Amino acid sequence: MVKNKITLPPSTVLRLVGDYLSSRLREQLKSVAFIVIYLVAFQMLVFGRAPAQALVIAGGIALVVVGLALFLEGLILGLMPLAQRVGIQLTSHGGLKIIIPIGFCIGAGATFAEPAIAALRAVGSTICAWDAPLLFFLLQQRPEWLISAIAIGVGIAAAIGLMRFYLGFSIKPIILGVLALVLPISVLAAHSSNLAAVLGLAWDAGAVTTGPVTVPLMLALGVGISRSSGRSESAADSFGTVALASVLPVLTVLALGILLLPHVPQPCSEEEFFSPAMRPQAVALLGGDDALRAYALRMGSAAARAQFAAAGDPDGSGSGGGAIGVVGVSDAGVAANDTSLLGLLREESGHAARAVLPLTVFLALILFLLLRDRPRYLDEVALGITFCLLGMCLLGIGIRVGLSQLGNQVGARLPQVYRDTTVEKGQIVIKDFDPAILIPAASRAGGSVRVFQLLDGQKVQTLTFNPDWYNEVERVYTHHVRTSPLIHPELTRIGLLLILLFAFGMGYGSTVAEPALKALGRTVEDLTVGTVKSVAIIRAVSIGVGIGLIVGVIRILYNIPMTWMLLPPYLLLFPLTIANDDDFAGIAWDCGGVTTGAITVPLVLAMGLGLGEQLNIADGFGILAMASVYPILTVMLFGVAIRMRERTFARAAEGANDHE
Amino acid sequence: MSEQLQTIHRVTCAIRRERNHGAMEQLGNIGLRSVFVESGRCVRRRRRSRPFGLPGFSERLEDSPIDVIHFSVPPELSEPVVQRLASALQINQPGHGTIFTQECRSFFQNPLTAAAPIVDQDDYPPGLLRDLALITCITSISGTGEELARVALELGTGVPVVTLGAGTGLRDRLGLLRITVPSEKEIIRLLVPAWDAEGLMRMLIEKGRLNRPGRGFIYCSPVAAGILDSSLLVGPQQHAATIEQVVAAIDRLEKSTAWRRRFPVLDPDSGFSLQSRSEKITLICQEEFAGKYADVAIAAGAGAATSARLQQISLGDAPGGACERCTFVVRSAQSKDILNALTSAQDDIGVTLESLDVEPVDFSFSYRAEASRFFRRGGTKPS
Repeated sequence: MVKNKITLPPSTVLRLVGDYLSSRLREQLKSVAFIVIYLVAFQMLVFGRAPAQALVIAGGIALVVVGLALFLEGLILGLMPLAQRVGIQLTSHGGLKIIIPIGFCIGAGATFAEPAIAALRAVGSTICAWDAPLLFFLLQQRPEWLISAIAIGVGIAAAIGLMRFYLGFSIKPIILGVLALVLPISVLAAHSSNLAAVLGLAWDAGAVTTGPVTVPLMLALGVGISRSSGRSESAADSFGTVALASVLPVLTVLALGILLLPHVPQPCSEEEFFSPAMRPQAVALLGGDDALRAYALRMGSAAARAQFAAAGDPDGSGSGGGAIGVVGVSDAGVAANDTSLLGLLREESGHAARAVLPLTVFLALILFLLLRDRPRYLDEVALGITFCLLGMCLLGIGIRVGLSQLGNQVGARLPQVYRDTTVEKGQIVIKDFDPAILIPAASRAGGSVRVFQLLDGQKVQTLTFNPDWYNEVERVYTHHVRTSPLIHPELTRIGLLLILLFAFGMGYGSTVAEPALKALGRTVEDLTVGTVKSVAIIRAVSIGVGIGLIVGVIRILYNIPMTWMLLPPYLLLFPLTIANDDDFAGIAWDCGGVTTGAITVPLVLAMGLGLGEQLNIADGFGILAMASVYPILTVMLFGVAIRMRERTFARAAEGANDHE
Repeated sequence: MSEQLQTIHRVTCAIRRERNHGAMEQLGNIGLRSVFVESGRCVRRRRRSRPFGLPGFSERLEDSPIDVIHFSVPPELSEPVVQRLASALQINQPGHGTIFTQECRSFFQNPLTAAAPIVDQDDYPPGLLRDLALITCITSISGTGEELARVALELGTGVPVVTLGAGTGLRDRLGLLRITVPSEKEIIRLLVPAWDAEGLMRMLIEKGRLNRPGRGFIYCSPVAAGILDSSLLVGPQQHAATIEQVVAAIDRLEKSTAWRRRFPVLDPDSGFSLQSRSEKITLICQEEFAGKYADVAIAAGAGAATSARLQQISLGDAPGGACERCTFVVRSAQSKDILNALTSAQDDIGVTLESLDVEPVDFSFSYRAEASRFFRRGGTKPS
């Protein structure tokens, strides 16, 4: 389009590209640094160990940095301009009758493409059919129904959101209305033991659907539509769709649960589940006799298997299935089977393609075929989409190889902080050990133990003699040095504090690096012409996620019902939403949806799952829902603070002459 | 397409966002059918007592969101309209906003000629000054805007109005390599006393380091009449009136800013050479089409273009929507060609221009112009 193209000398090109790369990489390095340093420091200071496989992890983190930089750049160059253009053209060409179906398709399509949905299934894989039959049924037997329900929710949300931009009505009544519907239903659902188990899933599903590709697309579409509608007088009012997309699926998933409720048995004990009386229902739940038998062998305890056999197992394979039974209960959370780099690459590129391509192709088709338009810089958009694909792929590999490894290492040791297990630190092997040196000593518990003194360098220390460690034949005593657990069986204050601190840092650090949040922050900064800084938004959200994780962990530790933890913040949000300006209310609600993205979900879910498993709690769900409601709260408060500051400032600027 | 250029006055008004509704009502009453709105921020100094009763004050820049509204009116109506708006929105009081009109030649009839405005001639707002100039600075490095705003505030000229834009031109000619050059620009508009405009501009060039490559571009254009926002510093007040109020009061009495002229007559050869004999072309079209017009203008000889996003707000029956404004500062000799190219390109592009104005530019400065002058001089010396 421009004829007189400039060709630059190679040195200048190198300098330009070098500046460009270094600035982008530096930015991402800064945002990832916190979580990495935090995890390593936690591991070294609290557990006294250097991270294992440090080199691999470092490589993974490097990949995360490069991936994030590429992905974000791709969003800015390709996806967001494309979506914005579509938004602008949609308003001028079609009007409502095109905007609504397209909004629905984009929302629903985004859900099917979202890789994080698979993460939800992984979390649910440890759920037993008898503990929570409905949850089991949704996750294991009919995941496609579940995903469809979520997709319908997100689709409706997107349609409403885009319609709102076009017509220019306020987001507040919609969000508050939906909430007024969802909250009572959730409270009622908590009374049915079957539905209560689904509650966590429902709230998490809403949080999960709004991933790193969907959010920027929705934002950009919204910006385009609301800008070109010419109705709204405030250009910054282009938020709120993401929020709806994270609340409406709660409604649809719960509705699905209520519909299915009559068709699943009530939660019961394992024996009851496999007892003949329950047989018809159990068969219906598992979808056949054979499936039930296989399930009993795989998941059931010996007693259950025996009962199954007693109940008339024709093959009598009840005892023979023991070997399979052990395999079944491995940690399904981290389903990384093919850990070779090539395998990872194949898998992650598949994820990336699924997340990026369908939506962009759909948008591009709408733009080219339906709206007969093309972006101004087609090459730039194409490059951006390539960046997105590449970035997402690298990011995925990096997270699995590096970041979540590091997170898991810390997470797996976290229970040490409160569990009554001693950890072996090392051994002292004493040759030619003479039992004659043993001295009897009294013990507090009563009775006597034998101790001996050991000259270790310059110091004499007294050690307790353990007969099991003494090899009488070789006269060798192997003393095992153990560190006592930091805390004792019950949670003590310091143990709790450490866990909560960990949860907060994890939430804060992973959110700071979240690409979708950066896209949101930039959009906000752009639309407010810099009066609301992107950094400030990111910080407010990250603190919110940190607080949310603390609350989520407390819920898991003390097994507090979901409703108790979700209701108060949501109720608090009602007055805050009304008090805030329209645009800031939208921004805050969107932040809630944005938080649970590519980096947060794997890290946080792994932590929730680990803790839940240690404490024998059926599900680690709900933690994501907490991670999305508290940021809304913090951003709302931030918004109120900004408005108050602005008002006092403006009043002060005008004040001097107001009495005239 | 009538090639007849018609003189109009463009009114620009920057007010706090909360006052937007009031302003729209006033503008609707005047008889305008639609106006263009751009969101921006204005920067002021904020002084606070130190916490815990520590002595002294802490000071930093604080910004507040504003809306920049512009529209054009026939020349004879410009002052009455400005007066009416100013008195309705109390712009003549420091801290309430900035308003100014500029004379330009337009290709289009403006919407106000149809409806006669109802303007009460009696409410003349004191404070309307006729010896002002507008310095516009377009910087490409984020942060420079803040720096320039600080300089402007420290010089005590007026409250800077900052908006966002995007640059095209040189960047587009780099091919795909353009992604390495950020296109985002900050546009800083500063209303200054005309007497000091040149001196202030030189100072801004120096402080903003605009004489280095890739940093930005600055120009100064005449203003027919306007009201400065002089509320530069917000904070505890130690006297009966702030110095800004005193200055504003004397300005009102003098009806001029000549009394506070501070820069001596400058030696034209010292420092940077400012380009004179330039013109600024401003076009407004439907969103996403400014790029195409920019290509046309650049092909016709314009050096670079700055585009910004606007919203056309409908006040009556006129359609509203997303618009884009594109500005080019060109040498006067070139402007006719570019204007012709732009008007004749309308059929090819398929989207008509909403407005196309030309206004004079007193001085402009860019690294490129400076560099080419330098090289020309350097090249001629040996021969």
